[in-house]
Amino acid sequence: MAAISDHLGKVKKGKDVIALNVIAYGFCGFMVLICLVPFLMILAGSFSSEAAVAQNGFSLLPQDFSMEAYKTVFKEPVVVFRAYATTICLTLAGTIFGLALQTMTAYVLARKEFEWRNAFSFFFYFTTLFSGGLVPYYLLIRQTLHLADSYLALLLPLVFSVYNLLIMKSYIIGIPDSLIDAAKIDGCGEFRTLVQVVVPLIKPALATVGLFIALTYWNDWYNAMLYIRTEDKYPLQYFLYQKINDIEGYKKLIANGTVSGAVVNSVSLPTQTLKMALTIVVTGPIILAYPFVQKYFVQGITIGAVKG
Amino acid sequence: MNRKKGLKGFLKKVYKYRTFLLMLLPAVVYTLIFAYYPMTGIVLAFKKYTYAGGIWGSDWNGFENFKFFFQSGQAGLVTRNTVLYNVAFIITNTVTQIAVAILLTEIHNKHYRKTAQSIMLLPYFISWVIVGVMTFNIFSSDYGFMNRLITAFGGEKIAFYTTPQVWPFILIFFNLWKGVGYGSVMYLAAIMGIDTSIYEAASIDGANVFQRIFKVTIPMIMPTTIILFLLSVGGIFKGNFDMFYNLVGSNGLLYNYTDVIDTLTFRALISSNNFGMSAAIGLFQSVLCFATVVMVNRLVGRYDRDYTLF
Amino acid sequence: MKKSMRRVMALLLSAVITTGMLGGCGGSAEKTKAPAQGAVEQQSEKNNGADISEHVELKMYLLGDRTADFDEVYAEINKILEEKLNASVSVDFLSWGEHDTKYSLLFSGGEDFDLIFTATSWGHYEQTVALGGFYPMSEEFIKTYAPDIWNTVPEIAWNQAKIDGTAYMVPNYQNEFGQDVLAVRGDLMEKYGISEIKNWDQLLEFYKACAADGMYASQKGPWYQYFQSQGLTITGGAPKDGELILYHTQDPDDLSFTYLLDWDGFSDYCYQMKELADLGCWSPDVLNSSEERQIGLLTGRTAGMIWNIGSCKTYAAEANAANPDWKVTLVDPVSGQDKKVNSYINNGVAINVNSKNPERAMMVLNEFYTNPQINDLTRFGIPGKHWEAVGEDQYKVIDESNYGVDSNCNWGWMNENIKRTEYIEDRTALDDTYDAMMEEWNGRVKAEHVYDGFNFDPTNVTTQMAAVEAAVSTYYDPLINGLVSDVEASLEELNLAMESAGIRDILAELVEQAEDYAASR
Repeated sequence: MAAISDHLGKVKKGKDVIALNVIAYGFCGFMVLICLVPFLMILAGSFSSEAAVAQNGFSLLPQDFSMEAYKTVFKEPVVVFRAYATTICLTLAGTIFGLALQTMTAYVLARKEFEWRNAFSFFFYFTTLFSGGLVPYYLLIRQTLHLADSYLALLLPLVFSVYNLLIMKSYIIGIPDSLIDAAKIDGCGEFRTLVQVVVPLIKPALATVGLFIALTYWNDWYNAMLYIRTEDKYPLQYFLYQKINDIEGYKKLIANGTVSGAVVNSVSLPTQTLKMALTIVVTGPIILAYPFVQKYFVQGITIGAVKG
Repeated sequence: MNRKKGLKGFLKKVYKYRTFLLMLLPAVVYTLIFAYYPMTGIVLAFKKYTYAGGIWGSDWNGFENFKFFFQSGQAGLVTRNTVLYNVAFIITNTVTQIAVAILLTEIHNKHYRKTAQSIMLLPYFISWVIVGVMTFNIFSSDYGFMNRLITAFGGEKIAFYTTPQVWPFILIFFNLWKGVGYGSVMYLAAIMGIDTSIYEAASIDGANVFQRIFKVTIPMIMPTTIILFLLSVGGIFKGNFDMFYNLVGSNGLLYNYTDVIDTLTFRALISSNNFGMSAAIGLFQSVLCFATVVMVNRLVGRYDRDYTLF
Repeated sequence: MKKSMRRVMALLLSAVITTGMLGGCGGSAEKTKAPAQGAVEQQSEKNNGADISEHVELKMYLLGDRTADFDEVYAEINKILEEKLNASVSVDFLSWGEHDTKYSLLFSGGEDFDLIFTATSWGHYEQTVALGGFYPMSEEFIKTYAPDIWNTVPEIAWNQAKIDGTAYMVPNYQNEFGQDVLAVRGDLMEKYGISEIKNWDQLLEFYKACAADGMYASQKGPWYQYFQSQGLTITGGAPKDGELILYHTQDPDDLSFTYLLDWDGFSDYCYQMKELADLGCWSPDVLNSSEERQIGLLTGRTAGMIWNIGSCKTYAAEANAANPDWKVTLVDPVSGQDKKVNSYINNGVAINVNSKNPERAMMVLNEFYTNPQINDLTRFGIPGKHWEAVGEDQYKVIDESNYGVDSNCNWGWMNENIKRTEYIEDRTALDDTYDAMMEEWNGRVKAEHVYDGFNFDPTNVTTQMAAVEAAVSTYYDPLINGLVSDVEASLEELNLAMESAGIRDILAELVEQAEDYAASR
């Protein structure tokens, strides 16, 4: 990623540039602060003792330092790392498939010479408005497609997203027709035009949509909850969410007050600090991988270069 | 034009567009299987669901499933709240995300820029459950950060959880906070796609940076902005259940300002788990969203056909 | 570099897809055990003429999580079941966080299983019956396949389980008391000069004393204690977990129902709570606090905790262990009333309507319920490893870490007649208080009221029920915790909201059903 002004080397640092810089650093600095502080609190909380958090709430530094929460998460390290591996494989596979499918589809929908593009756009968009709910989808996956307990039940439901499709379409529309026409005149077929002309031009878009797809896979636990039974196949988020969900579900029961004494006494409650540790465990790898995505945010598409 | 000719013309076009259609085929097949086929579940909205009858075999019961929503006396309130919140979210999110994206691109220090971008993505990973705990830590009367701060400066404690008027601001803030990193990436990608020669031309014309932003950058990212706007409008009658539920919880005192369709439905149906009624409310929301988005899409079409969703 | 990266990705990709497909195949081809024939053929007579010559593997769903030694324990149980009934049981769990979603999907998806834990309201009993998910248990069916259960479970429990005249679950049989007590700091009572908390006025006095001292008295308003002290209790199946419509459980001759907003006692209560809340008897954030009930007591923020007697004892002991000078003890703020036994359908087991072997499932349940050996196994684990027997009716824990007492969703077949109690070696003052209280309670169990076994079936008024549930919490929860600014106005608004949501239809339907029920008894 490069700043716009970098490309305009000749511009003098006038008052306007300085003013903008003040605004940019100030505003972004403020946003960074409000995004960072809560996260640091969660980080500190994850290294605090449960009693201290229950007593004093959140703070910026660990209170009564404790690794208890992480010990709980990594109690069965083999399971956690297998869950990591499953999630990474799924995320990679899903992102590659998803990106290919969505780029190809978006390309067609963005082509102005394709008269039916709006009809097809509507065909896809309509599905984001209306849905039949959980039951029929559940029956589709389990009974019609027989995907219960298979990795495909985790891969397929998320591979195609109309939101990403339309965002991708909006980026491709921005490409001047003249470039595509030029490729056509050179005798390129649609596939070749897409791969050789369009794809290099929309790298930031590919990085963005790719990131979105990857995050969707990375964060998904719902499909695993519905369709996966074998513990060996649990993705990371499900493995972790199961612990969080259990706390929430269980609290609901207690709050109801209708639960019998035996039930109340039976569950040793997982904890606030555990929730925070889980957040750290989930977020860490993505934040470490993010700079690789940023690499593609490079300004500097010069149409001339492509033309020539 | 007779039918035969129409068909012939149609087939001719199919042939002409054969490559396009082939490229669309996987997505179309996928959508038919994974979206349109289960969509038939909408009929549940008009049925008295039983396990034995399933989706198709259960008895019809007309509009019975919709009644409870209007009979609750809250329908108007929650529908209004849902729409107003979404309008507020759309405006605040769009403005902030675009501002962040533009300002980020203006920052010269590469490390600062990249780090800032990464950090802004962090809230996206914090689940609403934890955000709920965090807001409680900030706003509670006894140990809340805000009240400790206020009392430290000699002020009177504010009971946030019994003061509904402040909640729209709190909710809008947290919604904005959680989405800023994720959302600005989209605009960033759009800015990166702008042909740099346009900027050069602008600066040669003597435009200052602010003029450049308003005359070049913002118009150039319009397609993306409008698509994202339209996509948000498509959900304008749907409330973000996780957010409202985790931040507001079951605090009835705040409902006049915070209750949305989804939280109301949840409360109404949690004990009976009535599939028909929840399908009915889902359909009610979808139809209203559909009508709104068709209208807004048409308005956008008047401005520029290419910017429309369909 | 790039190329090798690409190759790795391709490899990963194909690996993912292949394993995915393999997984898909493996999942659908479930192995069925070969029937273990032989020794069992002679047994058919013993089992009331039921044919058990064919081996059956039953599947049971329980709530919660699988403990480490769970499978080992159930292997023991299966040994007994194989021998006696030529059957075995395999168990799957629906965890606490998921059962709300998954319970109904099991039935929607037509899944093949036999037994499932259930409970009124939170355990999905009524809603599953309404959608036709459970196998109806006729008297004939129960007597034939589970004669011992029939002899054990009292009639009132069956009545509670009946919906529209038919039972769909086997309720558990244990006399849990349906009234909460107060675990309270003894040192603070002394400090405030309060010697006993036995009735509503003393409770109020205690609350006010706490507030005057800058302490919270408890987590929230003592609503249940109020109406219980008036001899009222909730009506099974009525809106808001039964709280909106009460009946006079302490007076068996009074067959009327009390709808809260027609009852002056309710507005009296709301005004009293407003006063207490304004004094600072509990946190103004109570409606949002996700804090567990015991935290206030354990951290010293509240002087007391209201909960069922078992939990109160557990956490009182925990608080005393950490702070011996607190002298936490148990008091009964509703001591003037006879004690009502909790509804028996708070735990139970149902049979799936799609079960291929409901008869055998019932026979197996009969064993779980009434065979002391199996019942003990499910409650405590393996004797000698997890626990040991002390005399005929007590137990002592050896190792609780991998199984745990009463932790494995064995609540559906709790059986008062064969239930062991814990043997305590080092008794504390708290244990004595607890035992004395239990003894007193057991000695004054309330006379039966005909509605104690009544459970409202809202099928005919589902719309009104949903509307009431949607509208009620806006005013109700703030009111019972004294958090509204204007009690009178809020009561009026609640009243109007309930009327337009259709509370009168619900009341009419409820009264009609209750009269029919009373007449049939």
